[in-house]
Amino acid sequence: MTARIALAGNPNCGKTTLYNKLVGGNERVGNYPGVTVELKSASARLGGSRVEICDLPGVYSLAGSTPEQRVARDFLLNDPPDAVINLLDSGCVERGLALTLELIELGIPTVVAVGMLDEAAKSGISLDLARLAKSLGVPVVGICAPRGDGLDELTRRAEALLSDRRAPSINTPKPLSDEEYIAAAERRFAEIDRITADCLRRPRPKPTLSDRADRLLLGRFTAIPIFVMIMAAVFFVTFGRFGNLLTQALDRLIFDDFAPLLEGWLSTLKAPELLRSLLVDGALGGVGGVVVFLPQIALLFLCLGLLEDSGYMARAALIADRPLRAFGLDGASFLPLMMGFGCTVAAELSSRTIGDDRVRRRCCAVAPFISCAARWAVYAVFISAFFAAHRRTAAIAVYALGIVVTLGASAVMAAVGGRGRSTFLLELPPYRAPRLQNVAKRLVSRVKEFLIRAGTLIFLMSVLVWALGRFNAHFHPVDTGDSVLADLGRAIAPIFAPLGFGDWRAAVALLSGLVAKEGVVSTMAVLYAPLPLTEALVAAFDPASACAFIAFCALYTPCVSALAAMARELRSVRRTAAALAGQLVVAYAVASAVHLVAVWVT
Amino acid sequence: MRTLGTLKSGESGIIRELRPLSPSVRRLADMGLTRGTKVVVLGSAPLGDPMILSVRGYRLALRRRDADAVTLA
Repeated sequence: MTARIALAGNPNCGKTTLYNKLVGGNERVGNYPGVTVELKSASARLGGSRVEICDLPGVYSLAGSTPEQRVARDFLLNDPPDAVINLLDSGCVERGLALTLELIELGIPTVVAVGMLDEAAKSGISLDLARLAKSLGVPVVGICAPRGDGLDELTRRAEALLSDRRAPSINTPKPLSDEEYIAAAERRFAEIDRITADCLRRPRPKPTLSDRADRLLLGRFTAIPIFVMIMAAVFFVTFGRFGNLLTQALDRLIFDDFAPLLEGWLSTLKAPELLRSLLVDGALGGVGGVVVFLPQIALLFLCLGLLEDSGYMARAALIADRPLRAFGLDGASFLPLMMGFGCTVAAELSSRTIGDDRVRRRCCAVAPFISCAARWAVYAVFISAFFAAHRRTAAIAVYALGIVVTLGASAVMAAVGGRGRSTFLLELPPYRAPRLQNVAKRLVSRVKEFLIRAGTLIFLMSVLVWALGRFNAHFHPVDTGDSVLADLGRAIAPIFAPLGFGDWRAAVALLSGLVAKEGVVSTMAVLYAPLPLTEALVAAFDPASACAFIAFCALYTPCVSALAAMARELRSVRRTAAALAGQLVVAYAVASAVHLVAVWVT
Repeated sequence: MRTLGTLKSGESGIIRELRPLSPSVRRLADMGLTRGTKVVVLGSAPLGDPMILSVRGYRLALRRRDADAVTLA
């Protein structure tokens, strides 16, 4: 059996960077407490042998009840690794040592790696590693993971722990009362004070660069204007002229340059018409219609990545705490909700960094109302068909609708479920220049994820929609209007007739949106082919029903992957079902209200 | 008796005890807010709440209401 080594440390202590160095991987790294919220493991070569390295979520303590703590604790207790590498941020040794002491108390062989020594040295902190090792009774190694310094010694030490490998005897901690819990924490920190008195020297605190930046970015009169400006800038870069230009360029590349090329190539091969239609109308129309939005999605995640890596996201969470509290959320909900503009799955995953149970559940339930980038594909198509003259206003209105419903739903849940007391604690990391390598790595993995979805899920769905729209129930090729798909669509369409879009194609498009929201566009593109989508929409919808359709798309049940992520985070079938039903009801109600208003106005 | 939540920007204090005891107070203890620890208020969010502390060499943001569970010596 290969030996297993767990990597444990506080949130945002550089653990994922170390993990990537050890296993040569590409995990995303951030400068926001709680970037690693799941267990990850990979095999690595340690000296001469292969070992499995598990990256635990960052925690301050093993004893608490947050999801990260539960994941970390269950892993260490139920399936103890052979050794633990405990990473300590030399910038805040005292707080980090609390976890170190807990790990040592557990009885798992531990080696302590002290990271970010360069940053600490710059601010005048000196740490005597030899004395620290002596006080703790475990090996201590100084490292700098980004440069790779000290990693050889660290792996040697870890290997040595494995070589005198006995079955580790775990001292399972007892459940503690509040009083005992706090007494235990006090005892630990008292010991830490004794240890650090001997080996840690910190200069008199003087304002650092981060403090000066905070004076501006968190200043009483400057904080909110800067916050609003930064967030607006993110949106304008992504969804404004720049992002649109990129999307249009890609659109031309795919549909004006590549599609004729493909058709020409198919005709020289004398391919049958059915194959031509499958490839051009089905596969390319569907997948291409979605891929054109890749630049904008990538831009959004790039912006969020830069903000996160710089340390500003934690400040944004702090600024947003007071306003969000009015809606039953808190500052820690800010990052998940922002991620929601990119992808609901990402939002659900990052909701684990919310420390308060009730707030976290509310955030999970309402995050799907935030318009994800996939839905942008739907809005963009409809806006250019109907509201091209008011592009910006229309886009802002749709996003505002999503935000208003998110906050409203959460406020209602808080009022109904009893507000109770919620706590909000957040470590503010020092600012640092975003490391392009980190941001790029994260971006590449998002783009890859998106392309894989487009290449698999969207591709299959486009082909399926194309096929179902070509044949009747007896597999005879027929006009789309007589196909299986049309029958299915006609069965559902009456539900949407009151909203103004009783067309069976719209119903089918919404149905395929359950697989992936971009699917709404790709399905319509396939169903209305060979007519260009914009022209087809103008014929099929009027402005009022277009508004209702957009509103419904903005709010109805997220795609299956988002739903699965939500179910995993809520850890309850009942709550997930309730959230799901709520989303459908809200979407239908809001869409009919929008339709009524739009009809009245026009 | 002064609590941490009443401190203004620039003021500091030494923690005496955490009370009333509650599950949420456990999280304060995890973050190193324990008896005898020195805390300095660095500032606050623009609306006055949450507050930003310097404690044990790092920066921690917490709400004043939560900070009221920390009494100072």
